[in-house]
Amino acid sequence: MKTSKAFIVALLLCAFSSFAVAADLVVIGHPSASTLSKAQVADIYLGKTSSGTLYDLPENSALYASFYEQATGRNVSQVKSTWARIVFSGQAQAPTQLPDSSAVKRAVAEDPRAIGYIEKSALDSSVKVLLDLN
Amino acid sequence: MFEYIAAVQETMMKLQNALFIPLTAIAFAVGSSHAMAAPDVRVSGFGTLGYVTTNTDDAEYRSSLRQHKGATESDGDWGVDSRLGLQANATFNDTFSAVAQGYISRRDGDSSLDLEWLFLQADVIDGTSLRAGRMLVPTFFLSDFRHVGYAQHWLRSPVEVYGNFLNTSFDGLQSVSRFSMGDYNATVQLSGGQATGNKKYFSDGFNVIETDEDSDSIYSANFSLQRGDWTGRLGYTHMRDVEILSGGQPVFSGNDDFFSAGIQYDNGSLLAMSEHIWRRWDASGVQDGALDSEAFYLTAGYRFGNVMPYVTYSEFTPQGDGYLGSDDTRKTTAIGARWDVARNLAVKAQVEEVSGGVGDQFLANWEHQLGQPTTQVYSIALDFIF
Repeated sequence: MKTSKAFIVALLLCAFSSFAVAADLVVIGHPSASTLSKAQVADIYLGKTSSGTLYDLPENSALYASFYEQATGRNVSQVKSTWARIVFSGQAQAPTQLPDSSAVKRAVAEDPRAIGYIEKSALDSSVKVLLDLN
Repeated sequence: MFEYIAAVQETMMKLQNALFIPLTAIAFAVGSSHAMAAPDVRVSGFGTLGYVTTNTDDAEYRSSLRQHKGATESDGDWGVDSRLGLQANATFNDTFSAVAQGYISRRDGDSSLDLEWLFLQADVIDGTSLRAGRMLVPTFFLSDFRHVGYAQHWLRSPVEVYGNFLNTSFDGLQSVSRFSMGDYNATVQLSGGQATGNKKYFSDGFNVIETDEDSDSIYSANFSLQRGDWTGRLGYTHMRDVEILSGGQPVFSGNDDFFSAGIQYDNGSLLAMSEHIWRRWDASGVQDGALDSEAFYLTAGYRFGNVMPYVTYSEFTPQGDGYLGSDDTRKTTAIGARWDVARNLAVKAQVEEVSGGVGDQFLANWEHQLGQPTTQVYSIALDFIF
């Protein structure tokens, strides 16, 4: 019994791991910013509410896919479709992509209206955690 | 097809030139009054390469009445759905930004470049943007991004609904206000100005007849409310002193009103959406109500990973006697699928069956269309963004 249960769990893990690498990510803001709920983060990163300057990690990185999967439940092509709709209807620009977590951290630390997400391991006191995705 | 790609490359060059001149002008205009750093300019684009064929040679299928030719069984057509847009967004500072978009598709008798967006935006009040310049008329749910196939699940928006309002852009002013109340996000969009007009094409079986549309002014008010996976929308567009001219002579004169209501549910896997529109043609004498109509669509799709099959049903019902052919309802049932093959690339295939009255969707002999034939249309498209 036990082995069969473990087998099923292992199978499920395999199935999910193929969708997204469950990276340890945190949504960060300026130290003066207030925390956000997951629903708020989803609305912000799907362009449903306008708020400050948004930063993304590179769209071809596993962290980008993992962030959107965890925060919004949308896959990369759905996210790209959503922003295509917003950009080409002249409403807003897509989030600015920065090369890595430390670049996002630096940009967010400088701007009270900026929001970004980084790996938890890159966190330090220059920024505030607005939402822990785990 | 290769000729098409060569033409696209050539027009890309033209587009770039056409976009950068007005943008540079705006940059100078704004730059002269505000000392600032160079604006943050981003260039992006979208396009569709599509092929359409049908099961008949008696009628040409088109995606809009603004197209002067279409697809048949023996003459499959690359021009019905193919299009290309190039956009530049410039941000000058926290207050001023500008958007320019050039667009190429088959409409108004050719496939030339049109300027769709060219506006200067000022974010003067928190949550409200004011725009001046050329903008798209946000008549219906998808009007703002209707040409961006990649941003939509279906191969093309239902012509029964979207074919009713043919003016895409206007020159004037617009305000866009966004409010949040708890979990609700509301948007109010008010527009006013002058529509850029359009040409429509009809066939009597021998000749293609062209009409021009002219109007004094256009006003549009649109409200949308979103919460989580749900979005609702109400819209009203009024066109004053419209004249539809054939050979320079007015065929119809009046005021044209469009009312719309739409709802969308999208939880990431399931997408369901419906929109209902009413057109009211307000004129004096016998022409009053001549172009009245009602139309709606229902669509639903489900995402299985990168593949999303969908089904769409749409109807158009004339209520006035100003339409060609019979005044029975026209119906289209479409099934199709979207396949996201790469990050910025989607392939779509759609099969649809068009039946019932009002055959103006097709360029065909009236007698043929009066028989209310059932036509099948087969389409494939590649949607991309860059």
